[in-house]
Amino acid sequence: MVEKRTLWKRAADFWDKYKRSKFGLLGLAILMSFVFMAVFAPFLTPYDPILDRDLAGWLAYPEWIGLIDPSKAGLPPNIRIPMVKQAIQGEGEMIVSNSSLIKTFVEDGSLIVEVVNPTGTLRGKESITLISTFEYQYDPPRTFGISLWGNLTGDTEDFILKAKFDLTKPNGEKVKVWESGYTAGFLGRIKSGQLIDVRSSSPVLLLMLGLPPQREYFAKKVFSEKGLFQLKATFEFTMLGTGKPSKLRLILHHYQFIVYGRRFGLLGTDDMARDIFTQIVYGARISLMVGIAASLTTVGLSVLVGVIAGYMGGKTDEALMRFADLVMVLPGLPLMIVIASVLGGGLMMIVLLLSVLGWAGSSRNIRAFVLSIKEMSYVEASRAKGAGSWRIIFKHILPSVMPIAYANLALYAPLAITTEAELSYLGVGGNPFLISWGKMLQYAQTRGAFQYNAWWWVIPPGLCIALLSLSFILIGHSLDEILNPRLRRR
Amino acid sequence: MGVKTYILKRTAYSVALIFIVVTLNFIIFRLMPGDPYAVMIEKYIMTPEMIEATLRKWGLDRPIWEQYYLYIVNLFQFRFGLSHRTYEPVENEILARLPNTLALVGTSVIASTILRVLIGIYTASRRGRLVDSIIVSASVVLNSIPTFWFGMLLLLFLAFDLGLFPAHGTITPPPYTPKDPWAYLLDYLWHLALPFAALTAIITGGGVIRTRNLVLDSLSQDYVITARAKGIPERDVLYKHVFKNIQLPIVTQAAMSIARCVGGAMTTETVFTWYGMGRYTFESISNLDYPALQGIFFVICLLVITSNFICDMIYGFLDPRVKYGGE
Repeated sequence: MVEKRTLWKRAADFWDKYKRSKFGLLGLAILMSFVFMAVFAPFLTPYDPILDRDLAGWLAYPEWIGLIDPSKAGLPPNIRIPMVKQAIQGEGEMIVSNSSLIKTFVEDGSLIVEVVNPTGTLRGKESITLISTFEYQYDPPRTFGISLWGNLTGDTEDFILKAKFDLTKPNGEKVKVWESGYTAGFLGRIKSGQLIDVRSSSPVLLLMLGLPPQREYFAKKVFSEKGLFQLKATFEFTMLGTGKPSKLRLILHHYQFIVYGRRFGLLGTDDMARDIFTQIVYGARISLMVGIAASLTTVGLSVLVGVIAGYMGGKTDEALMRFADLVMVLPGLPLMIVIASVLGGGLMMIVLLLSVLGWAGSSRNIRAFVLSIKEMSYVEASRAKGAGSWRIIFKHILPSVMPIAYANLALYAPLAITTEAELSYLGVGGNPFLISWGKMLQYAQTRGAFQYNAWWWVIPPGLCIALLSLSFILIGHSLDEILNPRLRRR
Repeated sequence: MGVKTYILKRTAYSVALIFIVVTLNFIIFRLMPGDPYAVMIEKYIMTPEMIEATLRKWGLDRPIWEQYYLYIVNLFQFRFGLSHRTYEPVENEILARLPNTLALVGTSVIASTILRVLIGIYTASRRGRLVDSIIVSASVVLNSIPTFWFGMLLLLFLAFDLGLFPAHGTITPPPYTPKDPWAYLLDYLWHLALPFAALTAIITGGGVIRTRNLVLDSLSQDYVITARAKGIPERDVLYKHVFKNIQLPIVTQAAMSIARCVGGAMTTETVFTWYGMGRYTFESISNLDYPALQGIFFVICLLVITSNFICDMIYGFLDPRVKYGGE
């Protein structure tokens, strides 16, 4: 109990001193917010950093762009018009060509359409049309589209199903957006319940519509004006009349018209329309992990070498310090690049390399410190009383070395964090299923952040790297001042 | 210790270092997962004789120490094999890019060393004032910024947004062909400006505090007190007396900054598509071009070790303890 209380008291004493360092507190606050981000990542953002694509338009600005650049206040957010819901709930309408042959009902928000050919001799076309309107008051988007997810069952051989989608602009101009013939294997896909996703930026669609193959052309043309747009989705059933009574059942789970936003989320989107804020949040995990793991192993190694060299002295000391000199002058980054890209191994390899190449500098300091401790009279006294080497090392030397080690821990982490970022930026030691801040910057560089002036893609990752490194530096210096008053800096 | 022994010792040390690096390189590429020739054997269905012939052709049938010997011989003749990507000899590719890297790293190291000393002395002489704390904080902040990100910011805002600087490469591409060598140089320097600025700023940032502390250490020494007592102007005390006494650690710092600068150049060149070794490294990594990586690694290590050796020589020249013997 006594032991515990003194430990608690020492911690409280330490905190009292630490509290006085303004920069130390600032560093701790920054570090804690990153730790919070890393731990609670899934609660901070609903998306996946890599898998959730097409959350908005590609390279969408942050949501708040209008606040700093009023000329961009008119950019559209994501707009989703649920066709079925709008058509049934009176804001739009649903037109059935022949109500005796086509029955519709709604179940769990899905629209079920049943088409019957009671005698099997009827031929001709029947159709169902969903109409809805929406108000559009923004600048043109980069892309818009429809997504359709249905299920077709019944005597599918006796019918031909076609779908099309038209749009009427506020000035009355009719624009054809899509028909099922444009989507390869439409019937097969709707039978097997696959999502059909049509995008105005798709080269195939542009080709089918006879439009120039520029990704943004169609969206700009359609949304060239603001006002009330009318959407018309038509399903056309052609009865083949094969002679036997037949029945077709189409379930529309989900049918949406989507304007992909040009502003989205806290930090916008990347070229695949993934959320950048999500990537930042999950990236914190990698940087923290690498920073902490690498500095723990590095400082562990340097303490080990420093204590052995300092305590043993003589030939061992000489050999270890020569070796340390050698490791210190090895060109670190090129060596890491070559080893990690040749041998692979991902983050573990990076941590390993950082510690193998990084221990030398601080092991020299620790050795010097151990040398001075060794000569202290209380160590001499302990030795005179017959204490063994292990007892002296664990009882006297390690406890006095630890303060230096703690400060070194915090001071080595920034180096580890920036080096990891540099390596992932160069594409070394990458794991395709993890996205780190360095890799975000690599993607930004190679996938056109500059051409589109996507500052929201370039600034946040680097800023986070810098802030996290800075927090460790601030903490390290404060620890150094408190724990090693003799080494106090000016 | 005379000058001769010093030079000999440093030379021996550098040569040993080169051998260690080279051997590491050899080991790394032998440790590579997968068999280097298994790919070939799998790709083309080979008879045992063909396999044997291929192994003989590449020298892979010989004992490992003989392979090592051949590897060393080739390396020091600057024969690094064919690039997996372009099928050009790697040494030619490196030779085309090396001058650009030397230009970038050389100018940055020199500029950052000068800046570090000037700013360090200046801020030490203004100790405790607002300027001092601003410079020290800026230095701490710059020290935690990744070099390549700083370069990306410069590229984004100064080159792409404002159009003040070129965004790509080392010279303006072909339609623009300056006949006049001065115009060519100017064009080159204009392209060099941003990568140089990025690299210099970051390398300088971290060192300023160290120089400042060196100066502060010196300022409390007896000779400064004597000099001040003699009525020598403060400027002369700083830039003559103090400077002379901090020369040695400055050379050591410069030597350390070379390695950092080379590391920084690898990413900075990638940012600015600067046609140098760093950019080549990036391309080789993305294309798994192992012979190229091996060659680049060797040349960069050689570069770092040689420049460290030069710094050692300057150190020896400046240090009277080396010049006149004794400890």
